Amino acid sequence: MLFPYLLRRMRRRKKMCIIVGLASLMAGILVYGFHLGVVSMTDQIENVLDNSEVTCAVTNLTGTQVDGLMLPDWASNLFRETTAESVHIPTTSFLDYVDNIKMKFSMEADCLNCNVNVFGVTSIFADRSISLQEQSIEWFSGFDDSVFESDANACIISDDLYSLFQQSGNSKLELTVKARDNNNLTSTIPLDVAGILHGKSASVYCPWETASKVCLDLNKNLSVDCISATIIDNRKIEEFKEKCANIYFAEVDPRGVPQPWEASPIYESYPFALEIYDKTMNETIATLKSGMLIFNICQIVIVILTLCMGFIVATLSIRHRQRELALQNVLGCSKLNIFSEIFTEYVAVSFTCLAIGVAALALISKVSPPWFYIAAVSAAGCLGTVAGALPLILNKDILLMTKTE
Amino acid sequence: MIYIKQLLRKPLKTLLGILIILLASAMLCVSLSQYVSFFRTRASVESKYTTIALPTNKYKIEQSVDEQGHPVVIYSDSQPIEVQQFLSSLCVNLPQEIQSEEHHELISAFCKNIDSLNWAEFYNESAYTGEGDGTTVISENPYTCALIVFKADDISEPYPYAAPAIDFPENTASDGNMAVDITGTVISAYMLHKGFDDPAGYTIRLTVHGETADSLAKIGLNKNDIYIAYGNDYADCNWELKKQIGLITKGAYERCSWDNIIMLSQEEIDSLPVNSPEEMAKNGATEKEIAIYNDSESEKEIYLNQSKLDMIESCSLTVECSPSLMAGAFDGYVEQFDMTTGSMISIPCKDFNDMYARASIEKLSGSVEDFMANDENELWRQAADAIEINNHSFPVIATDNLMSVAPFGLQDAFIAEGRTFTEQEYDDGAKVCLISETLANRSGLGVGDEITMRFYEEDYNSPWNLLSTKSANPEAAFYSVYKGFSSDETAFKIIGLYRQKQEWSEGAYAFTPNTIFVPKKSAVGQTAENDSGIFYSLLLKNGTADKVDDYLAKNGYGGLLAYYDQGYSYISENLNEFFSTSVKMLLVGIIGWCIFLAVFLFMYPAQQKTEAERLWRLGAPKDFVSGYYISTNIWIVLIGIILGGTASFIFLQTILQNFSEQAGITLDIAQAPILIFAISVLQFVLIIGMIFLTARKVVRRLYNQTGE
Repeated sequence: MLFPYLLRRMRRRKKMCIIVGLASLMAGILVYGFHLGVVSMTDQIENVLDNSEVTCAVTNLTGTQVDGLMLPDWASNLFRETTAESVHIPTTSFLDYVDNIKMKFSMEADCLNCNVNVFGVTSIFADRSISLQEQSIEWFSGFDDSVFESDANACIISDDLYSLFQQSGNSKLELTVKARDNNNLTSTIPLDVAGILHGKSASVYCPWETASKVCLDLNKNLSVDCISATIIDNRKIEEFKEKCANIYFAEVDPRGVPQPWEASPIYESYPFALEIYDKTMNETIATLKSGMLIFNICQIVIVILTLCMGFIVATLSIRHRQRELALQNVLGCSKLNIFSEIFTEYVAVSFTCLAIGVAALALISKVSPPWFYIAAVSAAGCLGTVAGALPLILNKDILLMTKTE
Repeated sequence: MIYIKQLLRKPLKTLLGILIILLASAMLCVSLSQYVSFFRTRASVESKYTTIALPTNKYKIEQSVDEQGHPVVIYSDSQPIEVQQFLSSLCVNLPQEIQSEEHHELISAFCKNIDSLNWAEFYNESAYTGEGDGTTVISENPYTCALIVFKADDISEPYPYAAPAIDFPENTASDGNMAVDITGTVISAYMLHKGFDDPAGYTIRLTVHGETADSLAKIGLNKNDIYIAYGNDYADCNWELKKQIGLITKGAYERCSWDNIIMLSQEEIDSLPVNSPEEMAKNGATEKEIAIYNDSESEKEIYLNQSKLDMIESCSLTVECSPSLMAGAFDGYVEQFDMTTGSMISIPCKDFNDMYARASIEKLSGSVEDFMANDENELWRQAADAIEINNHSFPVIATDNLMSVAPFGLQDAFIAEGRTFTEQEYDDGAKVCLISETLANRSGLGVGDEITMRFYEEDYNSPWNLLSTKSANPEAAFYSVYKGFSSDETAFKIIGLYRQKQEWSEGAYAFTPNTIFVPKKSAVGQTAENDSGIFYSLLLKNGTADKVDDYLAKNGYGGLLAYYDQGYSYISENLNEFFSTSVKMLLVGIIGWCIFLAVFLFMYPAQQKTEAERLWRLGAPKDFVSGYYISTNIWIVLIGIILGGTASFIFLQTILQNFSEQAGITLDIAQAPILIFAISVLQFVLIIGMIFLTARKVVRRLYNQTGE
């Protein structure tokens, strides 16, 4: 009974209903729209976290040297699979947090009657002087960068050595490595030549596994030039710092003063830092977050606007209908009943339109609605109406209002 | 006023109208502002990624065959001409992909409040490979100027000397040129760069160059006398030998001790295979090895001859008494290239010597201070000033885009503190700079501090100038007293400190931590540049590397460029999605605005037909009726738009700013007030236009009925 009655009354106030309805519809669409913006931004941030390549590298204390560090071999073991025989097994494996490890060490060897530098690398990108000039390697058929990730007996050699190798007519390049502290102790490695390295001289680059095995057999230890890696999960950078990096390495300090960190076996004899190059990613995320903040604030503004709208509509509505309301009051309708009537009208129109707007966008976007802000918009509308209708409740005699006017 | 009174007669209707316009206006302003903000956020993200392309060595390598038929690889210092031309044409041929061809320029600056870093002090084995060529090698120049006070222990007889002349080798052998070698003991080094070890007590080997034996005799060189000498090629031979020892094996430099030298007996010397005449001839050696340096830890050895042993605790300096001699004078004239006219000019030796006159060597009877204070020793005071300038001079790279400087693009160098240059600073040539963290620490400087810089150009005609065309590790030029400074002392604000992953390196894209970066327009004076290394790069629009590579392959230059996008390719798709969301939001705002506007037009102008008809009946002219429409609505529209614009402005400027500051981030909403104003004006014009159209339609209908 009440609903048809309400509809009949509302039909007489079409303009007011259109305004309230449209305002509610727009509030619903906007709040939802901004929510979609927030959802989208959050997705972008997640994508950036997923897709950004953050690297870390062992450096000197000032962060200004990443190569030629002469790290002990067990430092490199932190970044390798450990076995029961490993000299040091970290409490938390570094490999849980990093992959794509790039390490390099060097040793000397004799080859084709020359003294050559042999580099053991886990990836060609471990040597900055080569990787910066990508075109400086001429690969032979069947070989590529992946050779360094294997334990193949293969190598790339500088072009001066390649000339000598061609002249020798050998099918394999034989490297004779001498032990550091005993020249009589030698080991020979036969290697396939996988490519030519332009722009270097007397240099041989081998897979880490192949070269390090020989070096360890002869010298029992390695002196590692550089270590760098890629963070697996960018969300766990802080955890990586806390559980792994801070235990063994210092934070980079421009003054070169070691910052306090837990007792580190490396620090006792080799003070080094581990720097994580996440600045670009962090700046990107900060920028996206600032964009997200705009949407959040926009949602709050919509709530405030709805509150104002409710207030203005209710105020105007009461002033517009003063005579009618006074008549109703004279005929015995209580002020509360009159207020309820106005309030119900407002709620019926605004909630219906809000629901239409929200439902439409929910269907289009298939994203869960922002229930909190929808509730806030609804509450703000109601609160605004109540505030706007306060004179009605507070005035003793509605008829008096009309007289005064 | 009558129209305002009319409006006030129906306050409810007026207020409703204002409310509708206010909401429409606020909706449009907010949605457009968020779009602009979104757009700028994306631009800001994009600006954090720079895609650069660097020429590779591929076309610098030439495979050849020597006389014996052996394959030989020849490396060229620069790209072949056709490659250079092709690179230059890329900007024109690929305007959508290539943003710019970036040339970074070098100039020198004297900064009295910064202490320069000397390679001799910061040397590390990882940087020194011994393979660095002249284009990338790290040098101690121009910090090698010194005034050395020494006691002459031994003086050689004058001997003929051929002065080096780079441009005119045919002029070099001049029979008149003579030299004297002096061996002495350093008493003190006056104004020597702090990076060198104090040479007091060292043996000094001085070579004095003069025009004739007579001119050398005039100096009055005597054994056991004390002299003061000025030169710009001071070399710490002790350190040079340590560097050579360091090449034996890793860590040998740090462990180096002269106690590890074992002198060989005559028998041992003679029995050494390297000392056999055949081996010496093969190696081109002129001296026999007489000692062994033994690195006890690695058990590696290196043979040393007398010349090497002489380097221990010794230094060297060359004293030039005649500028024209140094410049390769021939037949009484010095040939010089005139940069202004682009032609060669001949300068008489006397004039040239006056132009470039400088202190050389003189007997010292009292203290250095007294000597310098003597009125007759103006040239020496000039030399002291030049040393002071050189010791505080720095290579300055003037750039229009810091991130396109190779190490920054490769992320081998990055801003550790502060910020990089803004577009405005590049455009204005703002007096701002970036220095290395190490340099800042050494001089106790930080972001926000000011340094004073005085630029000076390389004096290509100076006989003391060491011409170099370095593509990496550029150094400041030697200050030329003759040429002077190219600018006044100017304060530059430090806006950022950069850090390099490998600070000292002989790589193809390296620069030393002495390097200062400034916006190109802020550098005053003639700059130098190079077509490779850190001086040249192509700045690509993000995400276009593949297209450029395809174009190169199509033109037969595959592999000419190597691309570095700092990880942009990983996030580019995200950014596109991100942008589409903003567009959707804008559409919602525009649709909302249209709906509110339609409601307004429906409720106001469209409802004024009765009044219009009344006016028409009373005989009002057409324009008056149209004017009535506009006049009655203009105030509602104006007040609504002003309130809407103000609300948006307050929202964006105050609330948003406060929120963002609380969140610790900076939102780029600098354009919001202008944008809101522009939108408000546009809205006003549009709405009034629509009201006018509605009025015109009504008026036309009414007046057509009567055929007026």
